[in-house]
Parts: sequence; C-alpha cells; structure tokens
Amino acid sequence: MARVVAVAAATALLIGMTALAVRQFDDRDTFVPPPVAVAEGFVREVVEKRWARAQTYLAQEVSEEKLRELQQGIEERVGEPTKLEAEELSRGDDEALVNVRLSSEKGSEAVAFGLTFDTEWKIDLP
Amino acid sequence: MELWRIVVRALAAYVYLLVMTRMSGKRVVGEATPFDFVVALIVGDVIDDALWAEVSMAKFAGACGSLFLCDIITKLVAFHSRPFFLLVHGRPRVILRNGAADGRGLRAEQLTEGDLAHLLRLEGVDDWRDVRVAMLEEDHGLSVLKCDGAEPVQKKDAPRVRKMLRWRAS
Repeated sequence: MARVVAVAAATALLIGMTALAVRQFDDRDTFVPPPVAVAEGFVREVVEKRWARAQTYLAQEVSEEKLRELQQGIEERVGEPTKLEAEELSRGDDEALVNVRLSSEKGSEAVAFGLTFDTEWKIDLP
Repeated sequence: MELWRIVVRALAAYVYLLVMTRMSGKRVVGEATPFDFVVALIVGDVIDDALWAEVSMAKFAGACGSLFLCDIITKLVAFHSRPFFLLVHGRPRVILRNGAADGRGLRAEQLTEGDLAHLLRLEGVDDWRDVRVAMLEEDHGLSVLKCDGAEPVQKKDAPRVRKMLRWRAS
C-alpha cells in the first residue's frame, strides 16, 4: 500500500511543480510546451485528419467542418507535407504569434496562428 | 529550443521515473514479464514527448503515474490472490517429462522441439533422458529438474563413491 501512496505522491508532486512553475514563476516554455511545439502539433493533427486530437490544441472548440476546411486548404496548396517548421513571430506574456511552414514537392505554404496562454498555450482559431 | 530547458525537463523526468521504477518492485530486467516490457515501451514513448516539450510535464506525470499505479495495483492484487495471479501471469507449463517432449505443453506455448532443444542446451542439457521435468515458468524462463542419476556428484555421495572404488580395486 505504501508503494501506491508513494507513486500517487510523486505524480502529484510533479503536477504540483508544473503548476507552481506556471503560476508563480510565469514559466511558459519549460514545464509546458512552447507555442511553436503547440502550433506544430496542431498542424500535424489537422494534416493527419485527427480532428478530436486537433481540438485539444484549441482555446475554444471549433466545428469539425472548420478543421476539415483548414486541412483541405493545406492539401490543395501544398499536397502532402513532408516537412513542418514552426517559427515564433512575436510573444507577449499570455499571447504569441507563430508561423508554421509546410513544405512538400508541390510547394511551400506558411500558416500563421495566434496563441493564448491559460495554464497551457492554446491556439485561437479565428 | 534552449538547451537548459531540455536539461530541466530531462532531470525532472529522470528523478520522477527513478522513483516510479524504484516503487514498482525489485524485479530485474531479466525477470520482467512480457507485460513489464509493454509498460516500458509505453513509458519510453511518453518520455519522448515530454523531453521534446510536446506535452506538459503535468500530462507526462499523469500518463506515467496512471500506468505505474495500474502496474503496482495489479502486482499487489496478484500477490494476494492466486486466481488473479494465474489470470495475469499464466501458469508454469511442463514441456518435457521423463525425457520425452510434452506435445500439448509445447503446442500451448507455441514452441517447436527445436526451440525446446535450444532452451535445454542453454541449461547445459544435451541428453533429454537426463531430464525428469522441464517447465516453462511465468517469466518464460526454463527450469529443469534432472533425474537422480544425472545430477553432478556431491559431497554426500562421497561414501558411496569410496565404496564403489574399493569394490573395483578388490
């Protein structure tokens, strides 16, 4: 039984450390994924048509139709992307702007995303 | 990505996993069951996401903690309940008895006679007739019980050997 308690305590400690780092020390990149990782992850899920997983990156839930439109737009312009690169354009305390460049043999396309911070970085889709 | 951030994440994950593996028991890698291996694979994938900051450390802790918690609870229940132990780990199976391969046991474990010969050679057994019982244990290790005559000579056999030698000399 002591082991169960120790595992639960260690897990709670790491979760608590993350919360402390974010709330008390304004950590935005170390214990939480930085905006570039969030934007890259979101685009990867959209390109792979994993709508439910893509929703987890969003500040507000959007319709599947909207995500499908975004995916189709990318597919029309770039085809099947072979490379994803995210670049931070600007950053405030709780806001960031990230550019994700998708490249393939067909061409290259950059999509800009605005992100807001609320315990984690989330994408604000217009 | 700044190097020091990776170092901080790696240190946090290392200390956390050290505690977790310490808490999950004293079994060594060689004694690991196939399910221990599955848990290790999942944890390996989760830590990759945490190190490269694709998930927050809180989510990493949540995922790993749940896995280890399930693992420890399973082991605890298996320790206290024999039926549950057998359900989770299976039971040892006889694959060779009195020098002859047990066809049913081999089929159940999906082993060929060639595999059996290989396992026995690893145990230093060349002649199957020397084996009374060979069992495949829950951790997929082979345990071999040899016939009395096939055991190496021990100190307790000394009087008998001396007697035999005296009889030969006379």
